[in-house]
Amino acid sequence: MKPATPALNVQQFGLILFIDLLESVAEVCFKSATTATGITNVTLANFNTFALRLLGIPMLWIGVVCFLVILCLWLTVLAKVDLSVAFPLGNAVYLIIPLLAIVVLHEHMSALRWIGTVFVLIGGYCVSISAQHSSG
Amino acid sequence: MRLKAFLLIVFYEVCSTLGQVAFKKSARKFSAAPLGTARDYLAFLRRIIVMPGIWWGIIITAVGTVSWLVALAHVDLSLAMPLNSAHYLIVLLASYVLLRERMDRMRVMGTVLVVAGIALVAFS
Repeated sequence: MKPATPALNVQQFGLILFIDLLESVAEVCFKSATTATGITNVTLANFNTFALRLLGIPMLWIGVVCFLVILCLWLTVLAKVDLSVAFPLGNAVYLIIPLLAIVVLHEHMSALRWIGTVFVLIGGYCVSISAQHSSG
Repeated sequence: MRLKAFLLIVFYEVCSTLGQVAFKKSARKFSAAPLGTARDYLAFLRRIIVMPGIWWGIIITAVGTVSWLVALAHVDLSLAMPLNSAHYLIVLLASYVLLRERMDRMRVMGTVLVVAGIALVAFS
């Protein structure tokens, strides 16, 4: 029996992790930009004001640039890797960063949170070793 | 307010998934392209950026992102992110139905573990 090719190689995994990191930066930029508008309840009535203020906040544009870079890198990943493999690995960084905070900064982490993190890591591992499907 | 944010996030998830499917469908056409050097990557980008599917993907994703931004104005990112874990299941389904990617047990189990893990972290 021919051994199954893993769905991912090291270079692709590294790219996905880098995209993860950049995406965290972009999300924080977006949150900080929406907060900076001073509007917490967006309705149809104040949507224009919200959008106009948002467009004037530099943080929004830093986030947008991050997303453009992410898009280019992501397309190169998708050329080779199944979407159902690349996508679950896409947000693993949200757990890797808290994990680093605990290991490096000795922050407290509850048992439940540990279990959740282990789940995500095992899940990501399962997905990445699932067999490659090259549909061309 | 919570319900509105919830609906906005679901709308974002659906848009974003359809955008990903459009990206994947376009990128798939170049799956044989060599990607080793920086030059390879640039050549790949030049070819793919002119494909209509990419632009549809960008438009759909942009519409979804507006919805996501409005949702973030309502609720904290720490609440919005866990809601987003459903996203993985939607993408898994779309990959199977729309892209006909193979689903082996390992892949489905792995995705379910990721979703469960995020939910656990979110509610701990």
